[in-house]
Amino acid sequence: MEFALLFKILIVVGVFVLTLLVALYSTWAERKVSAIMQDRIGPNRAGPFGLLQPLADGVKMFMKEEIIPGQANRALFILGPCLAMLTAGMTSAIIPWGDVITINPESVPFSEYFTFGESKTYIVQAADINIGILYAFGVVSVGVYGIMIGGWASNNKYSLLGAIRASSQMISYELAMGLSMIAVIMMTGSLSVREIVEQQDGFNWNIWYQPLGFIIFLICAFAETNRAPFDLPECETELIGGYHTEYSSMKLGFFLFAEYFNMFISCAIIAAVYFGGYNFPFMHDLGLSDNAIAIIGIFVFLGKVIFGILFFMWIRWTLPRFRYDQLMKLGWQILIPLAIVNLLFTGLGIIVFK
Amino acid sequence: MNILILVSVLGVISLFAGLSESLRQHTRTIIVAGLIAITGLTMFTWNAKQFFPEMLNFDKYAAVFTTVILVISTLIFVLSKDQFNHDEIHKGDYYGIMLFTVAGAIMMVSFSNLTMLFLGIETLSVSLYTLAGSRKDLLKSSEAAFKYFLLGAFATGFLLFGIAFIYGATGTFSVSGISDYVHNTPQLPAIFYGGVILIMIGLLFKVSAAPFHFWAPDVYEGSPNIITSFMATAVKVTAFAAFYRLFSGAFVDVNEKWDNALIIAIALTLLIGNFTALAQTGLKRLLAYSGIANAGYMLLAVLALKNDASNALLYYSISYAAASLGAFAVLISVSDDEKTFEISSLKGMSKSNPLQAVLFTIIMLSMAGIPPMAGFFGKYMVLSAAIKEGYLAISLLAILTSLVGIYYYFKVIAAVYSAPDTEVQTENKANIVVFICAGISLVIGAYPDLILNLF
Amino acid sequence: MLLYLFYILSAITVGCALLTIFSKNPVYSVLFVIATFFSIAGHFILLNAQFLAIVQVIVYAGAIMVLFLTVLMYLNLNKSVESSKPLLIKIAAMVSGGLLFLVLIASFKSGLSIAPTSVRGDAGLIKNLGNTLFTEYLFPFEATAVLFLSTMAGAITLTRKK
Repeated sequence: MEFALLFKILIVVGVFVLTLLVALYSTWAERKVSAIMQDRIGPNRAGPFGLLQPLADGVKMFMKEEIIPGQANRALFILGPCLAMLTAGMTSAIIPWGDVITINPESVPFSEYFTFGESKTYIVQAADINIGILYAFGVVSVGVYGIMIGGWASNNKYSLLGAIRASSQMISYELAMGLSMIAVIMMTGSLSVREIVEQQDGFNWNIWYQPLGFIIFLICAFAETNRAPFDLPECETELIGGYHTEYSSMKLGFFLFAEYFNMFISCAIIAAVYFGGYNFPFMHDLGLSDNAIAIIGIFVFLGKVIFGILFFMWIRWTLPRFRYDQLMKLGWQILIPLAIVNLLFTGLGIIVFK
Repeated sequence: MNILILVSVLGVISLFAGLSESLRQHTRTIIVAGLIAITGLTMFTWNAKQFFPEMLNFDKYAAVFTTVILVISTLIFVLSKDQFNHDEIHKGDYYGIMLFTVAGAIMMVSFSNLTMLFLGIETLSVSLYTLAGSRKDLLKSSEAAFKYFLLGAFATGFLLFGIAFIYGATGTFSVSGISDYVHNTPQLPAIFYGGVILIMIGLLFKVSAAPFHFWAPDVYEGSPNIITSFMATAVKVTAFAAFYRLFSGAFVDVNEKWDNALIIAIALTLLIGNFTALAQTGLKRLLAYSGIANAGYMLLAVLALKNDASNALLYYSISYAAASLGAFAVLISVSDDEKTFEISSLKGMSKSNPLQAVLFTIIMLSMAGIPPMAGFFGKYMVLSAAIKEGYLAISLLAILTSLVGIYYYFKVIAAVYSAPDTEVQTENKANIVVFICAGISLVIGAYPDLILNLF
Repeated sequence: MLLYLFYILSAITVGCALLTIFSKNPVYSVLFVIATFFSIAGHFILLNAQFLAIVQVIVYAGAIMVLFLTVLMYLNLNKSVESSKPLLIKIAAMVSGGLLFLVLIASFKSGLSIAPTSVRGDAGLIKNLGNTLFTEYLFPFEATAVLFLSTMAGAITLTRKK
C-alpha cells in the first residue's frame, strides 16, 4: 500500500518535472529549429549549444519589473496567467507514459496462506480514469479562460481582441477535434487513454485506420494551442502582442510557458491516440522481459512526443499565418463536415469489418 | 409516433425546399398538401402498432388533439400566403420551424413520460421564440421574441424543477408510474406536492394564465400576425391538452391538494383577462387578453378533470381555436405587421366588405358565447363539468366575467357596423380560412354531437 | 469524509450562485457561474457520475460560458446601468420570491428523509448511461434531434443578414 502510494507520488512528481523540462527545452528547441531553418546559428552563448539559455531566460523573466496597468482589473489580471498555467499542467495526469511495471515478478507463494514478497503491478500513469480522453477535452475547453480573463482584465483593446479571437477559435475547433476523436473512440470502444493505447499493440496504430481523423485532429491541435499558423490571438502584426500585450515579467512568462506546455501535452495525446503511445514495432519479438519493454516503451513514447514537437515547430516556421475569416471558414466549413464524413465512414467500417 | 416522424420530415423537406428559388414558391402548397395527408392518416391509423408506448402513447385523446392541432396548422399555413414575403430567402426556414413547432405539439399531447413532455414543450417553445422574432426589421418583433424567450426560459426552469421534485419523490418519469406511486403510497412526501405546484406554475405560464400572463399581451402584440394566430390557437390548445393529460394521468388522485391553487389562478385569470380587455383599443391586444380570459374557462376543465372533462376541454378548444383563428384571419386581411391595428379602424367594414363583416360577427359572437354559436356550448360544458364537481363559486365567477366579456366583443362588432369615415368601395371577399372558421363555429354549435361523439 | 466534501462543495456552489446574482459586474457574474458549474461537476463525481461531471465541464463551463463571456466582452458592460425599479415591484418580487423559498424549504424539510428509490450506484458511469440512453430512452434521445434542428435553423434565420 505504502509503496503504491510512493510510486504514485513518484510518477506525479516525475511527470511534472518532465513536463516542465520538456516545455523549458521546447523554448530552446524552438529557437534552434528556427535558426536552422533560417540558416542562422541560434542561441549558443549560455552553455554548450546554448543549452543553458532557457535557464537564463527564466532568470530574466523573474528579474524583470512587474507591471500591472493602472486601469486593469487587478485580481483577474493575476488570475489569467495562473489559470493558463494551471489548465496547461492538468492534462498530463491522464497520459499513459508507459506500460505496466511489475515488481517482484518471480515471487512464489510461501505457503497457501502467506505470500512472501507479493507480485505487484504499477502503471506508469498518474491517473487511469475511465473517461480519460474526455477529461483531456474538459481541461482543454476550460483552458481558454486564462487567455480570455487575462485579455479582458488588461483593459486594452488589443488584448481584448486577442482574447475574443482566442475564445472563438477554441470553440470552433473544439467541435471538429471532438468529432475526429469520437471516431477513434468508436473504434476502440473505450474512453480510457490507457485502453486506447493498449489496443494499438505493436505496429497496429490508429493512424492506419484513421488517417483523415488524424489530420483533422492535428490541425485542431494547432488551433487549440494557438500555434502558428493559427496564432491569431497573439498575432503581432495586427494586435501587438494580442492577449498578453500588457503583461510583463513572469506573468508573461506563464502565458508563453503555458503554450509550450500545451504543445507538449497535445503531442503526447496525439502520440498516445494515433501513434500507439508506448507501443513500438516488433516489441514482442525482441525476447526481452515485460519490464524492459515497458521501460523502452517510455522512451519510445517520449521519442514520439519529441518528434511531434519538432513537427509543430517545423510547421510554425514554414507556413504563414491564416487570415481570421480563413480560419473560421476552415474550421466550420471544411473541418467539421470532413470530421462528420470521417465519423460516418468509421461507423460503416465498423459495421462491415466487425 | 408515425405522425410525429412525418411532420418532422415535412419540416426538413421545407428547410431544404427553401434552398432553391423555384421550389420556395411551392413550399407552402407542398406543406398544406402534406399536412392534409397527415391529418387523414392520424384519423385512420391512430390505433396502429405503437413503438415506444412508454414514451409516447398515441391513444384516442392524443389522436383527437393531434387532429385538431394538425387542422389548425393546416389552416394557418393556408392563411400564411404572402406573410413571409419580407424575408423571401428564409421562407422555407420559417415554414420548417413552424412544422417543428407542430412536432413539439404532437409530443405534448401524446406523451406518457415526463421527459417527452419536457422535450415537447422545449421544441414548441424554442421554435416559437424564433418565430416571434421573425420580423427582423421590426423592433417590436425582436422585443417580443426576447421577452418571450426570457420569461419562457424562466417558466421552463420551474417546470424542470418540478419534474425533478417529482422524480425525487417517485423515482420515475413515467406518468403511469407516478400514478401508481400516488395510489400505493399512503403518506405522500411534501416534496411531491412541491413538484406538482412547480409543474403547475410552468404549465400555467405556457397557457398564459394569470398571474403568469404578463408575457402574453406584449408577445402577441409584437409578433407577426401569422405567428400570433398560431400562438393563440394551436399552441394554446396544445398547452391545455398537455396540462390536462398530465394532471389527469398523474395527479388526479391528489386533486384536493392542488385544486385550491388552481382555483385562485382561474379566478385571477378570469378577472384580469376580462377586465383588462375592456380597456384595450388595439384589436390584437384585445384578442390577447381575450385569449387570457379564455384560458380561465379552459382551466375549469382541468379543474374538473376528476369526472373526465376531456370532452368539454376538446369542445371548448375547438370552438375557441376556430373563433380565434377566424378573428386573426380577419385581422391579417385588414392589417399588416408594422402598425398597431386599432379597433376603430374596423369602422365601415360592413360597407366595404359586407361578407367578411358577417363572418366576423359570427366569429365574435361565438367568442362572446352567444347561443347558438359554438362558444356558448363550450362555456356551458366546461361550467357544467365544474359545477358537477362542486366548484360552485368559481363557476359563478366565470359566468359573471363572461358577461363582462360580451361587452368588449360587442365593442368590436359595433365598430364593424358603424358608418365609415370616408366613402368606400364595396367588395365581397373573404379568406377561405375565415369561411371555414365561421362555418365551424356555426356547425359545431348547431350539432355539438359531432365533436362529443369523437371520444 | 464524503459528507464533508459534500458540505464543502455545496457551500461553494451556493456561495458562487449567490455571488453570481450579487455581482455588479456581469463578467464577474459569468466567472462565478463557471465556478458554480465546476462545483456541480464535483457533485456529480461524488455521485459516481463521472461522465456527467465531465460533460458538465465540457459543455457548460467550456463551451456555453465561453460564448457568454465572449458576448459580454463585446458588449463591454463595465459601467453598470441598472435602472432602479419601482418600490412596489421590489416588494412584490421579494414577497413572492420569499413565499416560493418558504414552500421549497417546507417541502424539502420533510422530504429529506426519503430513501432514494431503486437507483443503482453506478448508474452514472458511461457504459450504464449509454445503455439506458440507447434502450429505454432511445425515443426522447432521437426526438431531441427535432429540438436541435429547430434551434439551429432558428438561430441561423435570426442572425443571418439579408
